[in-house]
Amino acid sequence: MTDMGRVYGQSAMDFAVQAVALALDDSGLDKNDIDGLLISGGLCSYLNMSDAVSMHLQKALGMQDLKLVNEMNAYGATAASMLQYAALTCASGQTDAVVCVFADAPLQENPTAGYGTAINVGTGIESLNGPSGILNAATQFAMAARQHMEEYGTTSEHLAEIAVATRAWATMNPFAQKRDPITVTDHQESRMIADPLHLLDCCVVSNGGIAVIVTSLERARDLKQPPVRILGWGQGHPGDRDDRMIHTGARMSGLQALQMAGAELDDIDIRQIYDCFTYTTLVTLEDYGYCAKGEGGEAFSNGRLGPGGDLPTNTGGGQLSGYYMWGMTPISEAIIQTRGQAGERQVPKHDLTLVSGNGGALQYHASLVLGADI
Amino acid sequence: MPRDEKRPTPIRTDGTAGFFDAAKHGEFMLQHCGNCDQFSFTGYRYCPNCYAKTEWRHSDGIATVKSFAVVTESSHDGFKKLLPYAVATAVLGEGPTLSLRYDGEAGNIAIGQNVKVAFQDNGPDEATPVWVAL
Ligand SMILES: [Zn+2]
Repeated sequence: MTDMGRVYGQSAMDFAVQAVALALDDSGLDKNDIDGLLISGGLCSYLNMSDAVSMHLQKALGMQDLKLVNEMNAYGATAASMLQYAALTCASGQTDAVVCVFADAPLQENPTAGYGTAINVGTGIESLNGPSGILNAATQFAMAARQHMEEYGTTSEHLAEIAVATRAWATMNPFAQKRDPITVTDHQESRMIADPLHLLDCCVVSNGGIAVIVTSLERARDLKQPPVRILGWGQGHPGDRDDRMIHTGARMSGLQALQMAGAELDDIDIRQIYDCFTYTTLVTLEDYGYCAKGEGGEAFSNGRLGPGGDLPTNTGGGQLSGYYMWGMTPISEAIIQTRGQAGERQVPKHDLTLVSGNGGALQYHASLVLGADI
Repeated sequence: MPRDEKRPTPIRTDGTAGFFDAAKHGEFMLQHCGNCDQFSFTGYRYCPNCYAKTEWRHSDGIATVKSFAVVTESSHDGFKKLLPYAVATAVLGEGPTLSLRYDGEAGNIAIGQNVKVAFQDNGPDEATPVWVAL
């Protein structure tokens, strides 16, 4: 992974190339060993910004005669889906080594005219969101959080507990963008963005790129880094189901992933949850089955998700305090922890990790179970 | 409410021409399927239930608020002057769910309340649907 956050002077495509170079160096593989490329862009691609990540990445990487290339999109569920697809092509013998890349560069050092007003316009009925003032995910997740509060009695202080625990992890991650510890009071006093969501309920925005190389276990064992096994996966896409933001696709995709891995929730050591908002962590853990439906507010309070808690979650600071590389944020931290390379934030037992990726306004969900080679 | 040049306006497609033509004179329409008798609001021509062709049909636009958010910060110049404004997801009597801005005091909206679709006139551009209090 590249440097994250307010890193200027290069485009999303530049970050993508840099991420692949770093991943090759990290693994010990040569560029010519790669025979598959899966591509995913973030806000720059969504908003059609210049030099967004695209199919041109193959050219930018100077890769020819590949056996697999695809630009994939299920929004925040893409990264986990890319790893699933890559694993299938490796298992079938179609490919030997597939590099999965995400890169984005929405932050500008000297914002150009129109920056901040760029919206994905859409056409027809899809074009009603912008004129309605629904310009970002915060508005939609605020409605979801309010509905959860109404139905189950969840409070803003419950969400604050998640923000505080996640930040506590971030203080130990050199890649994290927000590293000063915060309290529930700091959360409550942070400015309102879309009521009931405060600033400290929202993720950061980042420039950067992450590349993950998928290959066979035999091959991986001969490489420079300890292998991280892809033991299970699942997807669950509610689409426009009316109650999808309260009863998310995490349930369906999580059950599949655990079943494929032959694991129970109790076997999972670490959770890496797509946390575009504090609420997303709460509802995803609920739907994975970590508590009875609706009881997440109380269940995940009192530091249970933080350092020293019994449910270590988002151990790199997630997207709330770490970096926002869409579905690659939870995957990257899962890999670092599984390898045992997380330094002072290393979770002592790191054999099995459950990873989530949420897309859109919770229309899409993909899960992975990643494990150490033991 | 007068038109605001800075705020985006909806963009019609061939499939939504019936909706936006009616919107110009303040009438709200939903898609209706003559085959399975369901209402929908996808903007695509075929019924999402049975895939028969739909027709635009008048609706009273009355809906029950399922949830809402009060937007208190915006980087968009056209919406800054409206802050704080409420956005509500509401279920129409005919079935479809829709999220629109609530054109009224943000503090006056509540879950379970009934609202109604109205249109903000945008001159030559397409009209913008909003929720108003009943
Ligand atoms: Zn039908």
